[in-house]
Amino acid sequence: MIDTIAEKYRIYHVVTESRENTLKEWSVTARGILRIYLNFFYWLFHRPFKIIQIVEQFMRCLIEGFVTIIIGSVVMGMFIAWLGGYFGSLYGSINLIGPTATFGIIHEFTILLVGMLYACRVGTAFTVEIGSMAMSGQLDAQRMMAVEPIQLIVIPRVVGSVLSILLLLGISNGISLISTTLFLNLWFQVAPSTILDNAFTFLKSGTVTQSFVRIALIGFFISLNACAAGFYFNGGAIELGKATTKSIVINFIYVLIIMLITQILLTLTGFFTDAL
Amino acid sequence: MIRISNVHKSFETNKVLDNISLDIEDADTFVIVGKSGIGKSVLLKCITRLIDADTGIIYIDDEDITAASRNDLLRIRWKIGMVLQEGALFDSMNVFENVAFPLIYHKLAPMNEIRKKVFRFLDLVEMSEFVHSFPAELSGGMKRKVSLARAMIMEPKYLLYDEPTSGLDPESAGIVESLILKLKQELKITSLIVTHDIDLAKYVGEKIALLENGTITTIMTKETAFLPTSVIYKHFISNRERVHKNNENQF
Repeated sequence: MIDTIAEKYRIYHVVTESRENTLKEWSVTARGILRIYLNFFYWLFHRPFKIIQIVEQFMRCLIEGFVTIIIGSVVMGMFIAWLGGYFGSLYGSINLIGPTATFGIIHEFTILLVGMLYACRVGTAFTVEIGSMAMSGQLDAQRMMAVEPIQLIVIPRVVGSVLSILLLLGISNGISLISTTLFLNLWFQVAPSTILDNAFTFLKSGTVTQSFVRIALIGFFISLNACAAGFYFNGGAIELGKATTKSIVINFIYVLIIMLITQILLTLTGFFTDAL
Repeated sequence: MIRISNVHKSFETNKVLDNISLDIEDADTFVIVGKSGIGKSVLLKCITRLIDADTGIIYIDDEDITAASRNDLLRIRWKIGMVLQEGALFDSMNVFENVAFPLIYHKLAPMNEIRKKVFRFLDLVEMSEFVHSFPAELSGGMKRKVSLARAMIMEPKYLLYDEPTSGLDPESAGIVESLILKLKQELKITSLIVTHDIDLAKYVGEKIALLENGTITTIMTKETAFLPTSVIYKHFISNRERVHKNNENQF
């Protein structure tokens, strides 16, 4: 219970100060993100463009994201199997599980799953790594060697991310389908042939293409945001922790917004209905 | 020559540099001393334009770095080597890769020449035997030495040191001090050192400036800076003695 005016005043002051600090921090982050978008495209077309660094980052993102995405895909397959098996049995529509599960997995579920897990696993790694480079003066050291850190650090990570997330999406699609098939068989005794024989009925090539375009967009933005959170942060360990949290929060929101906008565009352009 | 003219820098309401003007002649070893947190590192970062000064002009060999385009800035920075606080070595690279990095990145020489050059500078700082070690395996003093070799590898005209001995034990600090002097004598480089280590200033400095309240209040030669009557002496040594005495009385 707040029983003195002084105590009430102190709490009011702390809350106001904390609100102002939070607003200030978020405005710095927003400016950082905007700056990195501009700098990224400026330096993308300047030499030197080191392919080897892009390959290194591609391999690194693939390896870092692989296990997380495999586990996520297996669990998601189990989830779809349970839901599809239970309601399919309840309403006698078990024969439709194959095509609907496949369509759902490729059109939406794995994009969301891979985007979120990638933001957690690879995005945060970028933020912490680049943030600790900034903290220990390594970015300044690069600038002093006439090396632009955006070229050396950011561009290879972003390009590597876009390429690796495409592959991870393909892997996730495959694992999710296998997992759904196996667990439908295990839990509801649905024969794999029932699922696989007509699994691709609802799929058109456009469905697959749009899923890869959407994940490439997600990969681009989440890796660039994660780099920005590390690149433009100031301070010590506490601030780096805050920057990492911001990186995840911003990227989750970005994934949802990109999913929403691309979905609206796909529907408005008739792509979604065509795919069906 | 580095010419700093009327440089101001503030962070929000905190005025850090207030009308700094300074000339650093070629082949000089210029030391700026001042308390911790007074803005010494900010001044170095303004000189190299790692951060932008609010107002003022900084010339590096008659080129205004404050107005340089992105490409010109990269070119001007070729002339400047910098030893940052704690060394700022790249964690993912070993000692050889750290020192060779600028040469490899800019493809300045074939690999066998780069190897020779790296070993020449690592020999100079007595770190050749640690060529395969990673920064995490090195002591603070060793990191500074490697950082010094990396700053030297581009053969810069100017070498800037940001607190090169801070946090080092007396022996390691002594080694770094000797190295700065050795490099100066062997390579005739213009050096600018910012430090609060008065022993370092005394050992390597030819001109010593005092940074106080955001501005340069005194510039003295080595001969006059450490006389008991000098402002710098009073600021650092007698102030320290006064604090000791006050504390002794309190205890």
